[in-house]
Amino acid sequence: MTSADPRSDSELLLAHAAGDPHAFAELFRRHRDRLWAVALRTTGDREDAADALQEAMLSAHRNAARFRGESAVTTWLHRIVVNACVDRLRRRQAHRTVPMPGQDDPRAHGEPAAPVVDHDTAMVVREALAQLPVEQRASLVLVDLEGHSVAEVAEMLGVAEGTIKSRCSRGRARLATLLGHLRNPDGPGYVPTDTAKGGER
Amino acid sequence: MSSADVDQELLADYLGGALDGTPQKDHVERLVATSPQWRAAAEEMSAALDLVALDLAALRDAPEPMPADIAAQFDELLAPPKRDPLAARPVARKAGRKRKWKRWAAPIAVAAAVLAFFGVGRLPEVASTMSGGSAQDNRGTAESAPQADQPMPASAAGIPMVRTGAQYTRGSLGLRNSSTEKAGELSYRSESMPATSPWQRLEQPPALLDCLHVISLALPGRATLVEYAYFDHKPALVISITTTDREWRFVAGMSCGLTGPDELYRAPLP
Repeated sequence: MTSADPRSDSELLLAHAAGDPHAFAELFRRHRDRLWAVALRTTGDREDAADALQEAMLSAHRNAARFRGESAVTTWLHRIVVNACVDRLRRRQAHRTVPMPGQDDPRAHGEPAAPVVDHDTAMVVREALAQLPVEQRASLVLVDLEGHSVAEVAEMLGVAEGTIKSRCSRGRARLATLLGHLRNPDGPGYVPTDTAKGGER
Repeated sequence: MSSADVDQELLADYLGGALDGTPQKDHVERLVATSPQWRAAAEEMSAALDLVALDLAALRDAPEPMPADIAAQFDELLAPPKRDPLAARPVARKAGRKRKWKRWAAPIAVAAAVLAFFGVGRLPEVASTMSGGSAQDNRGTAESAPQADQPMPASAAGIPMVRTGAQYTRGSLGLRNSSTEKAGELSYRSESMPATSPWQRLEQPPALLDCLHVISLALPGRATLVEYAYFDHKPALVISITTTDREWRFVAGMSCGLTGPDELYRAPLP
C-alpha cells in the first residue's frame, strides 16, 4: 500500500506515542492488507480475523510507547496480531486438528485428494491451512507466508526456535495430506504410524 | 523393522530440520538409511513437501486485501475524534445529525477539555435514571444504589450507576440498545454478589473519577451509566458513553485509572 506520509513506520509509531492523532491511522493504513492477511490466514475466518485484528490494533494503539525499536514495526505488529489470533482461537477452542499422515483420520482413507487446480490453489491451500492446529498454522503463516525467520517467529510467539521448526515441519506434513500430496495410509507402499506420537519438541 | 515404527511426526521434524543438533537427528538418519520403510516414507514425504512449498508460495503470492467494509470500519475507528460542540452543553441534539465513529485516536494532550467534555467536571448535569422510564423524565434522579447503605460514587457524583454483577462477553455486550432505556434489565442481582466487592477500588469516588477521566481520553463522549459487572468472568466496569455519533459500551478492568483506562473491550451499540 502506498502512503503519502513520508515518515517511516517507527517515526509514525513514535509520533503516535507523542500524541499525533493521525499517526497510528496512517501506520495502520500502510500495512492493513498484510495485517489482514495474517489475521485471516491465522484464524481462517473472516469475522474472527476482524475481531482479532481489532483487538490487536487496540493493543498496539495503547502500547505504542513500549515499542523499543528492537525489531521492525511490521514484525512488532505481526506479533501482536498473530498472538491476538492465537489467543482468540485458544479461548474458543474452535480449531479442528488434522491427524498426521497415517494417523486415524476418516478423511485420510480412500483415494488421495484431487490435486489442487492452479486457478484456485490459493483458496484450497487457505482452506487446508485453516484445518491445522492453531499453533502450527500461526507458525506457517509467519514463516512461510510472511517470510519471517524462525528466530523472529520464536521470539514473537515466545517459544524456542526448535518448537517453531517442529510446528512448521509438522504443519507442512499435515498440509501434504490435506492437499493430497501424500498417499493415503491404505495405499500400496504406505507405512502408517500406529499411534499419535508426543507433542512438539 | 515393523512398518508401524515409522513415526511421521518425527520424520517431518527430521526433514524440516527441527532435529538439527539433537541426538534424534542421528537416530532418524540411521533409520532412513537402513530401513526400507523409513526410506520410502522419507522419499514420499520429501516429494510431498516440495509440492506443499509450491502451494504455500501460491497462497503467499495471492493478494489478500482487507475487504472494503472492514477497511471502512477501521478507518472510522481510527479517525481522530472531533468534538461535538453541542455535547458540552446540556441541550438536546439536532435530530438527524450526521454521526461518525470515533474510536482509538483520542489526542493525548487534551485532558482538561476532554474532562469537561466527558462530563466528569459536570457530573450532576448528566445524571439520568436507573429506575426505569426515559432519561428525560428522570433526569437528575440517579437510581438508588443496590446497597442503599453504601451509596455508589458515580451516583453521588451524578452519573447513574448500577452494580449488576452481570456477566458480559464480547458477544453479549452490544446487544442492549440503551442502558437507560433498558434500565429495568440492569437491576441489582443480589444473588450474584460476592460478600467482598470485587470492584472495591473503583467504588471509591477518587478512583472512579480517575478512571472516567482516562476513559475520556480514549473515548471522548458523555458517560450515561457506570455498571459494575463482569466481562469474560472478570470484574469490570461497563460504561455507557454517548459520543457525537453513537452510543458505546466501554469495558474497563480493575486497573482503570492507575496507568490508563485498562480497556478490555468496547463496542458500539447497534
